[in-house]
Amino acid sequence: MILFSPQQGNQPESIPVLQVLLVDDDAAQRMLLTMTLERAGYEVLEASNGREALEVCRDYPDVRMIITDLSMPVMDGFELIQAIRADQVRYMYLIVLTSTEDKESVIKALSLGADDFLCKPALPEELKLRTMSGFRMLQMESTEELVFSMAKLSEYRSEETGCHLERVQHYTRLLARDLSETCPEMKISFAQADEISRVSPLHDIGKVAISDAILHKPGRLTPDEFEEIKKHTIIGGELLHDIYSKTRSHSIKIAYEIAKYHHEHFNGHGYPEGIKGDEIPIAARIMALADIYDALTNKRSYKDAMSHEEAKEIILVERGRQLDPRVIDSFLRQEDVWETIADKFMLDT
Amino acid sequence: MKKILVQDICEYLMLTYELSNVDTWKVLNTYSEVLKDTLTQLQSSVRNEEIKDAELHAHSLKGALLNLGLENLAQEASRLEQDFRVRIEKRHLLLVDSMVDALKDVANRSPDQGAALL
Repeated sequence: MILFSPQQGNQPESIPVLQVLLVDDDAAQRMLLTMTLERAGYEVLEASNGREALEVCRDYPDVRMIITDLSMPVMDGFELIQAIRADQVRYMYLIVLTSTEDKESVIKALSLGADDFLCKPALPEELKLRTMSGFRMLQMESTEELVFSMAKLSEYRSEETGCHLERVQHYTRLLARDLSETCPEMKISFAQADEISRVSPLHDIGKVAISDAILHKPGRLTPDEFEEIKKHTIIGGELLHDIYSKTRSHSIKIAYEIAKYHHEHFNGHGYPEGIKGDEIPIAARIMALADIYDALTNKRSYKDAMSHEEAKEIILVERGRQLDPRVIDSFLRQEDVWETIADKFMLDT
Repeated sequence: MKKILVQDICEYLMLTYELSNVDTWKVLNTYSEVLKDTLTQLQSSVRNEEIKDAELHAHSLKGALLNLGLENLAQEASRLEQDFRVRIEKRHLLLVDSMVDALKDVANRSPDQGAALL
């Protein structure tokens, strides 16, 4: 396990120290930065050019942060950024070292994929704060990776077909992007639209806590069993809210809204809170339609798969009842694409 | 160009980078080597009108000077770097020579001198 705070004082040997790779052809500059970073509790690895840095990355796979100069012999900082971004398995946080007046290089480095920059001379306090901020970002990313793995695990337990998560990602992206363009009052930016799609697989994460007997029961659920299954929205919501309160990750906040509210109805007759209309977060209203369409057009233990037209008919009946009319309009604007996605993933399954 | 004193750089390093005496000595020794090499290479590339190398060495010199708190000299190095993107002129060699002179004590000191100063 990697801890995402610099080592302070005497730590047990079993706790690994965070590693930072310092890349600079200037040995004195490396020495100065190394001293500062080591005092802050980091383990520092050094390389004198981009090529050496790539070798260090291969030998030390736990390195997640690189601080690099830009102008270097053999392989410069720009080439290093490109090589790292082209070949990374886990996200590498990249900080570039630059001189104050060299704005062009900063812009070039950031556009190639650098995350942050430090102006020379890199003073100790700033260096410590920038590295801490980078590791905070990496912590969020690791948390999200973990949460998405949990979503995938929960899918294995579910009766839904293997591509359910992929399909809902496509459907939610289509809806969110379209609504960001056609419904400015919803205030969905293009980036948020993609974020909604990205976190949509977490909508049923609360089902991990529902018993197999209920989750896999063939046929209709009793009222008590239905009450039990309804709890997945609260459980998923609590889980994600807990993670959000620790990470303040915007993605996890959207995931929380989706997990908790995707069974709310536009007319207020849904669960868990019975909220209605615009009180329901937009991400959850989008998810609701995607989830319903996918459930209708795929086979379950208690029903056959419906055609696109049959599913559409049911969805239209729910206009203003279970579903937001504007979200349904968005679906209608691009229903041929939905049908294609449904068919494609049906064939792939 | 004003002569740079080793003692001033030591104080700057200790204060700015919160370095111990021993670390200040180590850093200073390394910078002496770096400055000596960089200045020699810069002089040589300017004399031989190797414009790309001259730009690179001026850039390295600028970075080293900034870290040592020598902002005025770093600005001179920065101007040289920009000039070398276009051409090398006779006045550039004079400027480099005067920088070498200003940094003589720092670049040409022996490693033992640091210990005495601290």
